[in-house]
Amino acid sequence: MTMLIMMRFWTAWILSIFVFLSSASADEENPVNKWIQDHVKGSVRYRNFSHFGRHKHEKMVRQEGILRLDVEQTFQERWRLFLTPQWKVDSANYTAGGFQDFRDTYQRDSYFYVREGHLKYRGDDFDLTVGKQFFTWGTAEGYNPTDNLNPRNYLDIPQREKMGIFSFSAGYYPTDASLSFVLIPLFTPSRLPLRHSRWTATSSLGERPEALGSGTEIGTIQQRELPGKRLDKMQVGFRAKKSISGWDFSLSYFDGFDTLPVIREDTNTNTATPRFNRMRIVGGDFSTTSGKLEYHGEWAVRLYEAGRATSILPFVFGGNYTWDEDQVNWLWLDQIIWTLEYSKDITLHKRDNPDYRESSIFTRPFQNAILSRLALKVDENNEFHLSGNYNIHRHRTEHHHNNSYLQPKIIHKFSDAWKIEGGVELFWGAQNSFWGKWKKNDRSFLFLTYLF
Amino acid sequence: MKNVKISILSRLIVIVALIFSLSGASLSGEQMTGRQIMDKQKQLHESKDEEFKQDMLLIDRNGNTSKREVENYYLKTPEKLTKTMIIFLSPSDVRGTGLLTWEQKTREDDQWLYLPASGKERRIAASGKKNKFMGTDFAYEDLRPENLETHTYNLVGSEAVGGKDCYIVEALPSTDQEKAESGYAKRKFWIRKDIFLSIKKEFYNKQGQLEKVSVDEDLDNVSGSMWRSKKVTMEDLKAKHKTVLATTQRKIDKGVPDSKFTLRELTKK
Repeated sequence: MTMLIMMRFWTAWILSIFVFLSSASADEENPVNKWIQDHVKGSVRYRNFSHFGRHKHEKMVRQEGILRLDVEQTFQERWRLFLTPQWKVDSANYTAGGFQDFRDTYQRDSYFYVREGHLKYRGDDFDLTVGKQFFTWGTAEGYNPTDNLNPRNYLDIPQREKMGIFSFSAGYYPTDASLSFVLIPLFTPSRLPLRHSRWTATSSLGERPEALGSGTEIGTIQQRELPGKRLDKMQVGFRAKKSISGWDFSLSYFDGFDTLPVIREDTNTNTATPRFNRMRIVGGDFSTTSGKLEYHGEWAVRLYEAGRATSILPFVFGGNYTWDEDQVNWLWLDQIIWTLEYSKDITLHKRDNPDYRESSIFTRPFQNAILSRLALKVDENNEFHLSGNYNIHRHRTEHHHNNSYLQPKIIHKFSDAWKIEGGVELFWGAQNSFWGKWKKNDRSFLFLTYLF
Repeated sequence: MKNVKISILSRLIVIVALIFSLSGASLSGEQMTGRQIMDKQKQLHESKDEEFKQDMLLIDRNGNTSKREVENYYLKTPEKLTKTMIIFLSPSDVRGTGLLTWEQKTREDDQWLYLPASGKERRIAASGKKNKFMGTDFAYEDLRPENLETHTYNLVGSEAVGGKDCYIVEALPSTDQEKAESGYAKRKFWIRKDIFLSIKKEFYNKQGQLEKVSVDEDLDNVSGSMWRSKKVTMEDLKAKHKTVLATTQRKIDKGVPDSKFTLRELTKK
């Protein structure tokens, strides 16, 4: 029955793409088609993930199809409406249900989803935006300690795509600077791996996604508790940015909730409840260049309320170095860009509330780590990327025995519209280490993208 | 009789003066140095600000083509430094990509690249200037205004191009920084003698080999002494790849505001 529904859905999805693309490329004189051509862009993506190892509940191959539109309309020069509706299907039931709730707390992706959708008013030196938005804070590349406003989709851990957040934002732009303010009235948690997913972190209870690898001994895991819809549960963020004499600096502050939960244990009732912890983050970053090197740094003081999680100071510093064509043409390459970063976090205040346990999904990911990416550009149509992360063993840190992640990837462009990406993702480490807990999930991937 | 003599004498004086003035003009042109020619070009054709749209046609060695549409903005600041912004409008794989450059006098230029997929602007290092810009045959440095202070210009001859007499001016990087950052050991400009506008350029790599040639066509007298070409073809001789830039819209000195050259505008969507 499920198979039949899936087949019907795939068929409907492919047909809808066909109908949309053919209508958009048809009669240009028709005002509707003209409007579509001018205001609607988008992409169709097919993704295939083929795992090397078997899993009790999941098939070895997971496939995804995504149709995404970018709809843009400007009114009276200063008003702009932007919508990114998305239709998605997948073969592992990571996607289900027609519509999400407004707050977007559904545990799976939806077949239909408004990924981003906002209305913006642009003044001469300010703008105001309301709706579902993405915020990108920080200058580092592999990991951004200051970038905490949007939740992430951890249904597929290596993908961990950002989710749009319903918010109000205001920006003021004096000369060579910007000041931004964000208000998030309703909390949206990150989307966690499903109960029987191969990405579920195992705990002492075995495959209990709700336990989030927290090591809890409690038998009954309750429904997660989301922050209430109250004025005092609103989240706010500020960021000031300035360019001075070849340097970009920014300072930021965020008062809100961690989008990953902690586990509250109650030994009286023998229950554990995932809850979301209030935190305050003061952060900063910089970026500058010197000759052929771009270098940057980013840090954040992350303070948790009432000792329910360990307060930390994560930081990242590193740079990009570019070898140009004249230096690398003997390798038959156009360009090499190497990004190398070091990330560490310093414990400011260790969790001292005995009722709470921290999860290991993506909490404190790079405590003493090297992050790197080597991009080899053969020509405009062919690239090879090698990305990786090596977490160096630290004593007293349960989740950080030496462990690592590596992703070699080839990108080929057939044309401006068609692109294919293929590669493998490999995980190493002890079972209780950060990447090692997914070491049975080594896989290859293949993405085919059509842009229109 | 006396009147006739005076009349003949005065005519002779006028003719001699005319001959002298003409030969003088010609001499002064021949005696101009490379730097003076470049200064003259700048003086005649430099605008305060500009806004234009271009179609970029990329043609590979097999004749396969790919079209890109770009929007360009240019501003001369009161400090006589330039700010430029290039935004890609199409095709889909590069739509929204932008490059913002602030020229600096005493240090490296500030340059930021915005790639929509990353959602944030990235300050890029000077070494990036010699790289090709978004698959075109133009390097980042080809898209910035000519910096007369970091080059030596030598007049190396004259030649007619398309039936028009041109000075040939050779440009050599003169500062250590420019020598290190530029992808070129030398460039040659063919500058029309009548309007002081470059209509052909040759780009020589660090090994001294001719690497690229650009030709300006469809010249248009846009305002006063100011000329612009509507079509520029840049050819990479080694890669046998061409980029044709066709200007579809142009506004000159219409007051592009300084606020156009900001990270806000670069990342706007």
